[in-house]
This record gives sequence, structure tokens and C-alpha cells, in this order.
Amino acid sequence: MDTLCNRTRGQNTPVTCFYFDFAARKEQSATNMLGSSLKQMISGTGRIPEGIWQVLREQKEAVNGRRPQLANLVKIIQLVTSSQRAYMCIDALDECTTAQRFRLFDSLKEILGKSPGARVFVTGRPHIRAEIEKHLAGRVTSISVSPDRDDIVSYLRFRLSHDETPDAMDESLEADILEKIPENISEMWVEGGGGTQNPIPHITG
Amino acid sequence: MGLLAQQSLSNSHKNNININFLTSSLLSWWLKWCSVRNHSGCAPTSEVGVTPVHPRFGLTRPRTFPLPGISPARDAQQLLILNRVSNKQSKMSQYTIKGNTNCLNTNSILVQNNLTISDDRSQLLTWLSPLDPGLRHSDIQERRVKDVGEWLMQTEDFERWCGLGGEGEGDKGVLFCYGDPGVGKTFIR
Repeated sequence: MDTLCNRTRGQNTPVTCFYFDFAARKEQSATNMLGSSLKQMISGTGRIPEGIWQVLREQKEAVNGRRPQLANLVKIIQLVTSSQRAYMCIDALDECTTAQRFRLFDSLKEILGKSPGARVFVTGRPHIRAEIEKHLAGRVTSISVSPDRDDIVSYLRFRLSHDETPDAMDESLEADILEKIPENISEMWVEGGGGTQNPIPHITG
Repeated sequence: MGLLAQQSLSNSHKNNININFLTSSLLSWWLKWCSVRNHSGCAPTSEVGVTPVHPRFGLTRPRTFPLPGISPARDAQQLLILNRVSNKQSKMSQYTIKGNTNCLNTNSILVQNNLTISDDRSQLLTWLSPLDPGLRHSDIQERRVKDVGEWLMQTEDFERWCGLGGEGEGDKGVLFCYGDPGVGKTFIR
């Protein structure tokens, strides 16, 4: 997301983020997710026409202040993204409930169908790959993410620089850590076929 | 709302001021206040005529709405308060006050309407979703190691998907990065 923000700086391009969390799955509905994205789109760009605000006012009045309806949110997002590039980043889609995920797929399909400038960045575990490629057929490019050696070394250096017992560390031990751990992690991933353990503490997918 | 602000400003020389969202609680307050005043033998010292305007069609119906006897110099401050109060019970969302407003400060009206616009939009944004992923994003930013996931940004797939140069229109709009737990998907910069 920050890369996208940097790349689009000065272009007034909306970039939104949403992090699904299994522990918060009850409140993280497709409606709340898209509502949050629309909220970020509107508040993150200074070029929202008054007409969009007026549509929001009318929608709010129409439901007597109750929560927005998914279909209406989709239409408003289509309005906002129809004439400009907009990025929506969605993390851990697999942690959204299946029912809500399907609702979200349908909504994204509608948005992408009418807004060629809309871009959706999704992360998730491999088991939803078939699901997303089926529901958003022809619109998905999938990339496998695995620990890159440079990433692991960067992370190890970071952790070593924050070592709480620096006196116990010497150059030789540090060199060993930086050499052996990346190798072992690579082997573990090959042997485990991806595995389920977290090879790098505090980096959770 | 911007139109209302303009109308309000342009009409200020005609001693007309738009007030949005006058609440019934305010009416109750005024009635109570007025009652106290009457019981104490003090009538309001001034009256201001109020004409409700239909929120959509701008139709006006004459109606008199006496405000407490406040001096014109205090009107601006009073109206500023009135203007920021939302009206949930009354269906009338807009009023026009006619009266002696010669002492009203135009700058105050401008500020007043800007505040109203800001409040109105803030309420609409809150209505859209109660969730705030910004907090989670800040947390990730703090914990993320510099340049982790940089390789992904250099792939052709990412560049094609990003399509900032105007290219890629009509291409695949979804980039799905999949991986097991712990590979760092969330921390891709």
C-alpha cells in the first residue's frame, strides 16, 4: 500500500487498505469492508465532486441513518472509480467468512466491470486461490509469495540490531546466524512444502 | 451545502440567514427559556421571523419563530451554535431567518457554514463504516522491516497490474498474492 501511495503521490489517486482478521470476522462484513474503502477513497482525495456527497446524503436519508446497503455502496464506488485510477488493498481475505467473501467477490466483479481504472490487491492463503480465480474469472493475476533470502537476511539484521543481550553476541556468531538461518529456512520450506510454522517470528502473513 | 453557504452569504445583505438542522431540543430549550422569562415578567426583547424552506424544492412557508431576546451582536454566535446542531426529529432541515442582522459578521457566517460542511461530511464518512483499518496499517508500518517484499514490486505482473502510465486499462484488475502463514504477505510494502 505504501508503495502505491508513493508511486501515485501528487496524482490524487485513492489508495485504500483493509485488513481482515479472523478474530473480528463478525463485524468485518463485505458491507463494512466496502464502506471502509469508500470512506478512505473519499477522505483521501481532494477531488470528490459535490455530487458524490449529495448521493451519500440521499442514501443515508433513504435508510433512515441505518447502515449502508451493499448494493448502494457498490454503485457509489463505481461512481468514484469510473473516471480515475483507484487502488484497493485487501489483506488476509481468507480470514473473512466464506459467505461474506462470496458477497465481496460479487461486489468486486461489479466494480471492476464498470470501472476499468479500479485495481484490487489481495493477499490470502493458497486455499482461496481457486475460489478467487473462479469468481473473478479472467480478472486475476496470482503470484506466489514465499520468503525471499534477502527479506530473511534483512529481517535477521533488524532483529539482531534490537538484541536485548548484545554482550552475548560477537561477530562470528552474528555471521553464522546470517548464513545458517536463511539456508535452514529455505530447506524447511522445501521440505515442508510451505509448512504451517512461522519461520520468521513477528512476520505473520 | 456549498450552494447553501453561497446563498447564505449572498443573502446576508437582505438580512436573510440560512440555518440548517435546527433541533427540536433547541425548540424545547427556547420554550422553557421563554417560559421562565414570561413568568419573571420579561418578554423577549426582539423577535425574528423564520421561514422554513423545503429541503429539496426550496419552497417557503411563512412562519414566525421568535428567538430569545438577544442582541443582534450576539446573533452570529447564537446562529453558529444553532447551525451545528443536527435535527433528528424535525423533518425541516433548513430555515431562513429574517430579521435585523445588520451586526452579523460575514466572516462568522463563512466559518459557520464551513464548520457545517465539515460536520456534515464527517458524519457521512462515519456512517459509511465504523471500522478504521488505519490503526492496523500504522501498526504494520511500525513493525515492518525496510524493503521486505521489494522483489514483488519489481515483477512484471505487479507493474502491469499497477499500470500507472495509463497502460493496462482493461487488463486484469486483481493481483492476488498467496502464500502460507508467516511468509510476510501482510508486510509487503
